[in-house]
Amino acid sequence: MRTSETDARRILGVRKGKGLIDPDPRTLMGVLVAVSVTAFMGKSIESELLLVLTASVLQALCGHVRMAVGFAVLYAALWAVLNVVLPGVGGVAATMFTISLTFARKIYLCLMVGTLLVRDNTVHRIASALAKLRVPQTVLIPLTVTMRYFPTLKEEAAHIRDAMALRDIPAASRLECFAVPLVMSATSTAEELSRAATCRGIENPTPSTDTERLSMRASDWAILSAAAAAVAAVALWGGAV
Amino acid sequence: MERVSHAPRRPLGEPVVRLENVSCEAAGGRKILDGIDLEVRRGECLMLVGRSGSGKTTITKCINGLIPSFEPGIEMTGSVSVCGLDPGRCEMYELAERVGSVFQNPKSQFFNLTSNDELAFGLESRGIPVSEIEARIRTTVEALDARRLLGRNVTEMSGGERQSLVFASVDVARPDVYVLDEPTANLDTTAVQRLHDEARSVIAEGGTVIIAEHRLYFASDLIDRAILVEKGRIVREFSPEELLGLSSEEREGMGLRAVGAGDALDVCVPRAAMDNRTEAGLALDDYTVVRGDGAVFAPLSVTVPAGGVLGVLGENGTGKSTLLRGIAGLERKDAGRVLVGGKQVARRARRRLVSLVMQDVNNQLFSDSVWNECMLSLGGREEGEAKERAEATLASLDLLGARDVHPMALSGGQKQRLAVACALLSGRRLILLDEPTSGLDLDHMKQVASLVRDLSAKGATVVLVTHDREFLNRCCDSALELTRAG
Amino acid sequence: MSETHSASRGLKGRDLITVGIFTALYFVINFLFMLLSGLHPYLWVFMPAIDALFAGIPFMLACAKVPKFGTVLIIGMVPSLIYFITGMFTPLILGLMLASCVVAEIIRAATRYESFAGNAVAYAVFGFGMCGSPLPLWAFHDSFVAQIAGQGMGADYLTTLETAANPGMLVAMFAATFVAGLIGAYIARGMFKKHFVKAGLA
Repeated sequence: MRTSETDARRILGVRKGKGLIDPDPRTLMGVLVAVSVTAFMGKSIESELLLVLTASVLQALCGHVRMAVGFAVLYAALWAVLNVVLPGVGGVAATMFTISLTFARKIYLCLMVGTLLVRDNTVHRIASALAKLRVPQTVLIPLTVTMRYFPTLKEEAAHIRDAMALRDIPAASRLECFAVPLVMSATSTAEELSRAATCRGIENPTPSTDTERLSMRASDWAILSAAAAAVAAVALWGGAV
Repeated sequence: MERVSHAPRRPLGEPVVRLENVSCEAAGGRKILDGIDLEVRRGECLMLVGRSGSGKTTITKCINGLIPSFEPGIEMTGSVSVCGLDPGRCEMYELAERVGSVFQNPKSQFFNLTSNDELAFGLESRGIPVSEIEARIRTTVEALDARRLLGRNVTEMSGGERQSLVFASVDVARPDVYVLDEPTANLDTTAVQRLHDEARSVIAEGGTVIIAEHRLYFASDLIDRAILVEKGRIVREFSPEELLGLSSEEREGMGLRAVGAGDALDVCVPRAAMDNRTEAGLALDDYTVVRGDGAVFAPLSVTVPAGGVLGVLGENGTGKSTLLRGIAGLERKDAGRVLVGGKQVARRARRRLVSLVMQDVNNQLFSDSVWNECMLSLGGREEGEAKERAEATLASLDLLGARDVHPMALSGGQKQRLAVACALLSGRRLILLDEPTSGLDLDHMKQVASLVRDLSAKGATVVLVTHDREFLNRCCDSALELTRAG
Repeated sequence: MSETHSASRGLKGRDLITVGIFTALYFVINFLFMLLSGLHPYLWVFMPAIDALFAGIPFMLACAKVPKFGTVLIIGMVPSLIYFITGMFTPLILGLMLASCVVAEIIRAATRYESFAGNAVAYAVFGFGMCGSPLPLWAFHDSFVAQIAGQGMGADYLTTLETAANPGMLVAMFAATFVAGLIGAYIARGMFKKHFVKAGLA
């Protein structure tokens, strides 16, 4: 492991403002797989609560204290809505929201770990981790481009909405009027970005440098083992529900 | 903006770019380049000048490999050699190690969302060890004085910063040849100056730089020579002294924009002021837009008479576009009063009185033909009177011949004129233009200026935001400089 | 010479970028309907169909711009990966998405990538991938019912749930998705003719 002096000189793969632990993205992906496996296993309320608390402790240890508190509070709210409010209110609201909120509760742990993974890492770092997991560049390049294009897409959409607000556009053609410039601009961005990236050498077949300097440490393996143990525990003694 | 008259001459090295009898033909048989012979030596800075469509950009594409790689429709003959490589036969990634390119649009040239990863991008794809990449980034950041680019989220950077980031990222890979294709087209004066200084550092370090530009003042003090391209041919070569010594008539005759920073940057129209004429087309009374915790720009009081043209200048980030959006009623919160034709108009109601021609006009054309775009503005009534009005308006804007063309297939200037036509047809008398000349050469800039004068002659009130002072001087009656809220 | 550049079989860097941009468009449409589907169980069941109706343009444009093997796999797998990474996807969808993408790719390859009918059928099949989202209703039916009953919902709600989650609905979901996919492709073709071809973009 490198010393902190070299850390200060680093430009690439810098991690700042971290919490007590700094897991590799692959570790969090492993945890994500583990919680996905348990999502539809039977769990007693006690074991579910324990898992949610463990996940929020993990978030807090990674330095995301507000996220941890937020998820814990939200879980309590979700439980109250599902167990008290909806059965009490009944009717249309219950029909509408019971299924989706039940589903949200089932994948709640996935959402927790997923949020942690995304907020704790840049797109570049996640792509590097996936590359180490042998996900091919043919998937990682479009993944990076897709993530990179979201903010642009949001900007373009706002411009088009503004332009539409200044024209009297019949309701029937609103959707078309919105879609056409959006797709046009996507097409030209695709063209221009392809040119720029090709001129910078994106088509180079040499394996890319791992500028993030990812490495699995003892703490990573500890977290992964704990996640695996949790899956086994839920499968064996998770509880009836 | 202080400029030394000219950079000291450096000894030039061996030829790194050589074009011999290069011709290019578009699919329809139109000649884009016609027998180009060009040699650029190591360490040289060459500027390609000429009108839009003269072939400047095509020459850069022959050098950076976009022809033939991205232009299958263009037939090229003759021979090109760049650092011993033939762009037509080698892989683009091989060429990428020798040639670095910067293009026009700062929005569509970055690949990563984080600036440091973007700086590393070129070397990362080549598999260069990470410590070496960092050393090179450090060198570039020092040389270009670009510490502000480190550790940033690219989506939060301005256009100018993004363009500097692209330039720095290209420099990190240290190519033999830098090809800049209208790099300043979308930049304001501050950003142009930054990019100028960065290019100067690269040249001082012995870099070979080829720039295609309309804005001669961007590089007139950096170059070793300039060549004038007309109709696909090289028609004249200038030394820097010759370029600077051109009279404005000679220069305009060649379709070139101002050479010296002075001509390009002085404002010579009166300052706009507040007066109490009630027939004012537009009056702003202590007006500002409020976002989050405060006013975006210092409150503004100004009157524009009906048929008058007001130019708004201002540093990047002072909120020039925000001002226009505010007047158009698109900003959520504002303060002060807006009077149109002497009457105060509420925010939402202004949306139906005002027309805004956006910087990216592509976002405001919705129909499948020029004619239908007009009909959309007329509310779909296609009977006698409306039809005549549409025809007359299109004719007056030189668009009637294109009535069945898809708006997206129009040229940039035609799109702008179509947006203006729609504004006129919907009966709006207050027209706002956001940076209408970004990236335009002299002829097209003059066209926009005369379009603005036409609008004014038709009685429309115009407010335009621009960083193009040559343009402002041509068509505005008054100007004001926006300042950030204190 | 230019022929060898543009016609090479495999996906090149530029193709990956083009597909990536259209994937972003597809993802946004998909995500909006995903959120909407939370409003009602029936919306959830028919979300893949609604999605298929509206997402044809980015899919068909990407297929037109990059007529090579792999385009559809990317449009399917990149959103799946994003959903998975953000914790919104169960492994169930990943599997179903992969399977339908592979079938769609086979259809495109068999129709040599250029035919509208081929791409339309490929798109309709591709739509099955999103059926993985409501699929837990059937696949983990008992777990759902148990939890909902445990949360104290009344018997009549459970009856509604049984109707929404009976095998007939499962068939209806897949059938509706397929038909909507064909219609979505047809809508995309209309937009192509009206706009993109005329504007010289496709």
